[in-house]
Amino acid sequence: MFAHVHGFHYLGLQTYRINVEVDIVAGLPAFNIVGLPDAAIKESRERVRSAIQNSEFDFPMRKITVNLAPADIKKEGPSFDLPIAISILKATGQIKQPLNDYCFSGELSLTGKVRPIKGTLLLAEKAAKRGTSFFLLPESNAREAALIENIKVIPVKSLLHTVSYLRGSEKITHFPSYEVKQATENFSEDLSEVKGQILAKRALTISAAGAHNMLMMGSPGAGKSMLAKRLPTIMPPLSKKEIIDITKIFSVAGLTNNGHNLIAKRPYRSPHHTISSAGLVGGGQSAKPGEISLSHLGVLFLDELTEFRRDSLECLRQPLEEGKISISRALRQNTYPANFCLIAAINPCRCGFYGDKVKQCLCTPSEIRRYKQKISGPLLERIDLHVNVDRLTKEELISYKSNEKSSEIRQIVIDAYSRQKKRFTKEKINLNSQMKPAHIKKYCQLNKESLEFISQAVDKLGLSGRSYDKILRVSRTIADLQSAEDIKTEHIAEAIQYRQYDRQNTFG
Amino acid sequence: MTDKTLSAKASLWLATKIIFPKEIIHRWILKNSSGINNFLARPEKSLTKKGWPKILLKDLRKLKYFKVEKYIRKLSENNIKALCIEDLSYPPLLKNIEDPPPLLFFKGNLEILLKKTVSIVGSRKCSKQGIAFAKKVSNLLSKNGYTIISGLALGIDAAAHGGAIEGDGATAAVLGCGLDIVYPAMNKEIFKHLENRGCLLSEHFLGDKPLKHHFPRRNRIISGLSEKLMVIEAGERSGALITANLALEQGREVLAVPGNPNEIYSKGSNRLIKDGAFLIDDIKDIEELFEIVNNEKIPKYSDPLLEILKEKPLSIEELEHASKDSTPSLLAKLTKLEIEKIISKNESNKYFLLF
Repeated sequence: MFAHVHGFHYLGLQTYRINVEVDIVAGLPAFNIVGLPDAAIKESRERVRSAIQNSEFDFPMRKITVNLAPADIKKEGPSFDLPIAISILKATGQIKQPLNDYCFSGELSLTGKVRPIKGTLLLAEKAAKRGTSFFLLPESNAREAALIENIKVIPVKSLLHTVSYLRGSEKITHFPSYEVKQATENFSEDLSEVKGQILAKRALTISAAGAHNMLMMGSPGAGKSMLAKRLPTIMPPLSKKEIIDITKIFSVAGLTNNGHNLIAKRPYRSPHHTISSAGLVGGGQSAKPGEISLSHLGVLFLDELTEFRRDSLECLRQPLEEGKISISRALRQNTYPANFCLIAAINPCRCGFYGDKVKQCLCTPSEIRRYKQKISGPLLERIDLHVNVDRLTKEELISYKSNEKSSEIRQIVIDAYSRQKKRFTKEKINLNSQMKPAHIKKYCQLNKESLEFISQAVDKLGLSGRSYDKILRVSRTIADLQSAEDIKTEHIAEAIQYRQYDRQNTFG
Repeated sequence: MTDKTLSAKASLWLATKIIFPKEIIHRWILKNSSGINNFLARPEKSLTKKGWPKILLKDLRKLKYFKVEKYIRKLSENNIKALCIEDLSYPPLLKNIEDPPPLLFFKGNLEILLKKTVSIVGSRKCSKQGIAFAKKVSNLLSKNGYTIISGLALGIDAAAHGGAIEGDGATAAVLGCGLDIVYPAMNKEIFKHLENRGCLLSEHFLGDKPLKHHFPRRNRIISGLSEKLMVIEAGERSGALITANLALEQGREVLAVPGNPNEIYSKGSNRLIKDGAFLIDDIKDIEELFEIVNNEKIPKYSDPLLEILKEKPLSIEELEHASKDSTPSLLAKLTKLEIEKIISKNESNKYFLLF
């Protein structure tokens, strides 16, 4: 007696259709699963047996062989419990209906209840692509899967519930597919809560509009983390495709359960500085996504940048350049998107109070210099905006009025965003920060006056030659924020204010 | 000055310095004989009579036959010359201090030390405003024919050298280590410039490390080389204060730039003023004191921002509040003023006027 049902499987963001084949033959009672299963799948024998028996079905006392085809892909996780159980029931004739239009995913408990799984969105997307009509999966995963069009998502509670549905004795209405509304973005923070800091706020606006990476320098308690946390509130809302992309990554990482199935907000991740390189860029035995992929299309905030392990930070270089990361492990190579906006924060010196208005700095000049040199050049190279964030005194905190709300700033950012999109329709890039030298040449043309101005600035302010491109990129965004077609001198002049870290004075 | 690495007398002094490294012996020689030739020619008996320790007689005999060629070759390989206190080119001002160095190694142009000189010193840990002021003062003075003498340290010293270099003026540095060591390494650019177009001085042998105790001794040369010593920003325990005290002992005039009462950068210089140093709080004071004419006209800018900044340094928030300008246009204006070198930003991120 032979039967097969469809299931899906993912490795990284790569998805595969898996044929769950069952053959039941006469012989000593045995239950074997072949097709490169991992420990969790091997254990599913016990779960499937108990689940079938406890759901009052018959478990055949014969030789059962389950094959997960194609047999050369490694499979892991408990999501094959449900398709294996269904295929056994089909092979033993306990389900007579044809199952070609269906696919299954779910973990079984010993009582036959269906438990949630990871990566539903990926599986549903693949299922829809392969033309499967019905996807039966755990109830709590349904909302996530229903984001995908062209597939009917059937939420099931238990094995018995599933079989009754397949037999036609019980009707389950499919989970309605829905549009993600932008209204789902409710932020508990607002930029207007930060008092003063107009320079940092302006830099955040530019960063939000062009996804420019930013470095904040300031004493402890100046409000660096507070500012960074509010960056997602002024970034443009996500499109449906972007939401799916982000949710897929979270889904693979197993972070979508517990009710928040969809990641409809731009992610904000702030890993602690003790993080390993595998934690930051991804890795581990199963090559899971790291923090940089989890902050895809969102914000990665690295507080105390100088305290991070050097090897972890160096790993950021490639993803910052390419917007994705390939992780190779012994058995597999996974590629994850990692198009994030890096916001880093550092203290001005080791004790943290160099230049502070109230507290005295205890560091020697060479200590201050050494502290600043801790950040590697190539990483600094990829940061467009440098700003100083000063600690406000009590009087200033009281006297400064809170200014613009996040929603007001966001409106300007959205306009600038769409200008960039329109400009780059024929290019492979979307945003000003992604411009390569060729793009800069094409889209950041300066008139004679501006050209003279920028070379004078580089000369007189001791800016490095490398900062030239960054100034142009940032001034392009500034021009976009003001809906200006061409880059003018004042845009460049403003952009130069965000290159504090570059300025070198040979003579003191 | 001849092209020779050193005069005959200087090579005798070099040998003496090698055999007797202790300064106390050099001082004894200077005090008790009319020159190095005289000292070496005198019979041992007359020396011991004057108080020369018998235990050093053996070394003295060694000195008389000591060959310094190897050392001289090493000096000339490094393009370093030396002059001794008995040479005519030895700076007269330095000669008259209580314990002048009998032998000075130098690199570069010694003649600039014979012009009008002024020493400018200050803390390594200093404010950006202090740096800006040091630069301006040394620029102005060097343009008017003064040679700026300082110690090649970070902070004020570097700014003092830098101001002169930027104005194409003369400047010299006295080091606390051998002339083949760039210390601090950060000032490599200045070192290179002084090597070629200024002057580097040291009483230390090639290869001598910049040890802590070298610097207070070195300071007597800095103050000794000029009639006026200006202290710009000295902290409570700054080495610049040592230089100031030495200058007073040498009968030099000490000028000091004041700071806010609470400013750590100026604790020391404020105390100098309390103790009677000449107070300098404006570039005009310098013009009067040094009797120079500042030809440079202060550029007239009618920007309202400058009017606001005249009172005190302001942060960007304060500027925005006072000028009622929008952030982007304010930032653009500030950059333009920074490029024109009219304003600058200090370590507390406040903008201040440069003139």
